[in-house]
Amino acid sequence: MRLNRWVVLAFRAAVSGVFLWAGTLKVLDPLAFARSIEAYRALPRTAAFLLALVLPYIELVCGALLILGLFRKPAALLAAGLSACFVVLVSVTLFRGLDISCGCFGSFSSRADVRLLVQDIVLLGLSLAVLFSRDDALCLDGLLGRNRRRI
Amino acid sequence: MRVWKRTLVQAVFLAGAGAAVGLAVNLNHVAKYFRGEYGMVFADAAAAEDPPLIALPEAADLFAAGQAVFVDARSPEEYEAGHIAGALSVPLYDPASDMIWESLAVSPVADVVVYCSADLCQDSLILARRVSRLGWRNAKVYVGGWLEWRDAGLPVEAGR
Repeated sequence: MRLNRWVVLAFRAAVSGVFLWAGTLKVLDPLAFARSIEAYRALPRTAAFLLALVLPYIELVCGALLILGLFRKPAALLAAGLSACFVVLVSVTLFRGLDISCGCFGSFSSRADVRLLVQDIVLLGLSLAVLFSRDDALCLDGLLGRNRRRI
Repeated sequence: MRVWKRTLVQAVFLAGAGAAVGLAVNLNHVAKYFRGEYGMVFADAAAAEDPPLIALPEAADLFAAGQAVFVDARSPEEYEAGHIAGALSVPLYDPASDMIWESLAVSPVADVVVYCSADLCQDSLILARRVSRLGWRNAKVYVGGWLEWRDAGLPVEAGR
């Protein structure tokens, strides 16, 4: 199925918005995010701490490049990868019966529950749609002569 | 196939670049962490806005003195199943929790001890922050929470 380029742009904007919003809120309070990650009980303490310091910036890079349409495919792949990790993590958390805050949006975070899982799956789907799309609108890649067909 | 490989390499590079920026910006946090300044819970003791974290002995002393108000941040079901004796239920995830809390008419200078299930839960910290922002200046977080309190054999009760 071939998506209209404006639809792809809308998907890109949506994914980008989520990552920029999530990244910004987490950059503001890295320690709170470290506590959130630790609450998932999936990582050793030091790994959780370091991840809390770097993940928000990776999200920001990903969101910024997506909305600019610069390194569009790699950024979409990164977004899909991150979303896939979130899907796995939230599924495992639900399976283990942990009742915790997701930590995804700083102090606006909701619970890690089925609704969050659905949101993450939608995010994954949109990222994949952008990744596999052939046409796209308003991309810096195109302006800078990076051939969007080939990339 | 080659195109996908290149895309993957570029994606890894982007993630690495983001991670490098994150580490560079947060060098002070990394240094503090490895100096052991972030104790049992990741919290910066120097950050004045955060309510203090207290351990079991201090919580037990406050309880024994009878002056402190204990606040349970867990869900109403968990509260009903068992809570610290005399604790008030203010479920963090209840949309009305601020209103519930304000309606409890606790003195603004009272020692307020917020707890949740155990040392890894953060609802207590989130609620204590909110409560201090609402004007209760002596909010504290009892880190060990319900499980530690119960296991220590300190006074508990069940029901509403």
